[in-house]
Amino acid sequence: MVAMHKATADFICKRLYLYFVSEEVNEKEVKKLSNVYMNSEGEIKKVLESMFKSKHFKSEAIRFKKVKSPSDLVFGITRLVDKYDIPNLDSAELAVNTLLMGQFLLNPPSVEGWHEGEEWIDSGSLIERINYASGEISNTSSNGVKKIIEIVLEKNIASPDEMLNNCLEALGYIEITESTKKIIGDHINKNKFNNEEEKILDVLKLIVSTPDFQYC
Amino acid sequence: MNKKNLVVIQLSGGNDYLNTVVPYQSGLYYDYRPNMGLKDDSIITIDEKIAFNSNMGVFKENFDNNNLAVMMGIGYPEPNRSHFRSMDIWHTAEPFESSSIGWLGKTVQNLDPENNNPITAVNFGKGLPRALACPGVSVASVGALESYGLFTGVSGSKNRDILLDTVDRIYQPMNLDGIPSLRLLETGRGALDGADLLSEAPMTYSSNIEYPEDNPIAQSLKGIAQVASARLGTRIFYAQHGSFDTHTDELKNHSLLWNQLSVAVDCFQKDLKEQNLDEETVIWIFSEFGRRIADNGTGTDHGSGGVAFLLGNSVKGGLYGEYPNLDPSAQLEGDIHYNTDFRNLYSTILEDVLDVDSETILNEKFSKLNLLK
Repeated sequence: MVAMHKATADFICKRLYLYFVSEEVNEKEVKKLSNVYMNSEGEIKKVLESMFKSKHFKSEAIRFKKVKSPSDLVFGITRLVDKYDIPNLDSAELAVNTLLMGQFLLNPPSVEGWHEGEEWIDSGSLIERINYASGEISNTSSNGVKKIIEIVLEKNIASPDEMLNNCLEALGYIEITESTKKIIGDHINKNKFNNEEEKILDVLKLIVSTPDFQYC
Repeated sequence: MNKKNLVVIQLSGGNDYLNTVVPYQSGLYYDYRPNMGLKDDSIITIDEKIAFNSNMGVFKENFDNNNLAVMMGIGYPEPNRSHFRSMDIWHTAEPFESSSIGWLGKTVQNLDPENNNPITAVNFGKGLPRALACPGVSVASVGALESYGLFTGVSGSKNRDILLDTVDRIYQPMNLDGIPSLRLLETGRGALDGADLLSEAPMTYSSNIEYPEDNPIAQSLKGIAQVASARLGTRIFYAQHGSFDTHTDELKNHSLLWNQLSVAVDCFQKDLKEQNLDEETVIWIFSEFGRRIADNGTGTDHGSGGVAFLLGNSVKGGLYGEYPNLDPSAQLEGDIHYNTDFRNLYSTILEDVLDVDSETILNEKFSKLNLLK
């Protein structure tokens, strides 16, 4: 009875929207999802399907607007650098890293849960995020990092712009603002590097340190 | 007169008031708490009616030295038993409306309007409490002081400096051309500027006090002592201790937490004396709410009203407010009635400790309590 109440549908769909789409609720979109929930007798699979296939989900309006949670960041980077073939004992360190960024997995600070969105990031957790991400993305013993370097080196990287754009592409088509691009471009121009790989690693470190990278 | 600094210790989870400051002469207390009532061997009496929990040794010492003010029955109007809402009320000083701006964040803005010092307030621990959140205000949030800083893993100081220089340029407020939030840029600025200042603090600090390694609140207070002793202009320090959410196994957990706190505060006060900071430091201890009068068998559930402490050489010690009446007719749905509005305490802290006009922070004038010498 409760499950099929309209208020339940609205509540669940709003939570799903906040989790998967954006921290700013779009009432119209939530209403659409809520209707799917009611029409499918509360089937979450149908709601998610409708959410992921919607134009809204793929639209510019909601891209890079959601602050990555510590687990989004840590697991995202781990997949990117392809650190583990299979989970092993060392992979427990991933949970330690989310803890350092303010998310003790399965143990929120109170029954309320975590303060999400922008509140994930304070000066301490931002430092942890940048140190972690820049350390992992420049660790050349990881297969994923080797691959990223290979991909970038295969392309034309004569100019700083090309170098940067190729790095952004290799990291998964990441977008950063023009002013940030310019500053990283200056970094490439201004400093001396022993070889191309060193240059790429510096650019990767800088990309994952940007404010832009904190969003997904 | 030296400026005073505020050290906040937040007891997260809802500290059980009745087992912290115990009405040991009240039959009603033992009637309501057949399982959780503290008997003679678990209390230290402070007068003919009330006693401290026996794990609060250092608090009794301070009380006897007239340095501990106990604010009994402190709370806010229209009590809410949710941790979430209740802590928000304490953090934002807004009992009726929801807000995300912290009262101490606003205070930092008032103390440092030009944002010149990114470490006017320093939080120790994971996650910034909402009390310190305020747009445009940078607050340093530190896990471990020794490893605080950007690119600490990068080899070669020259390489690190070059990277830091570029990141410093990226985190400028004028780069807001597509980044959803200014707050993130400001946080970055605060982190970069604050890290430089804070990383030096442990190097200049020396002390004979040994804070226990396995006591988290002691370690936080040690960090505070390190930063305070470097005299970098920090006025507000924040630390959290918990969890006090003792629905079960309260006797064991509540005792352990107060024992840790007592040991930690003892180390901290001795250290402050050694650093010659004991006159200018005021410690404030609070929790989001107290717990229900009756126990639930093995613990206590969320209640309303609570106790707060102000501690330091400049504090006028004693008992403030009245111990809440436990009589059924005086109860608020099984909870105690608060008798002091928390904002009376806030206005005292703002004006007499931090020297800030309380009305600009609280949007209203609240009478002060006469708590400082």
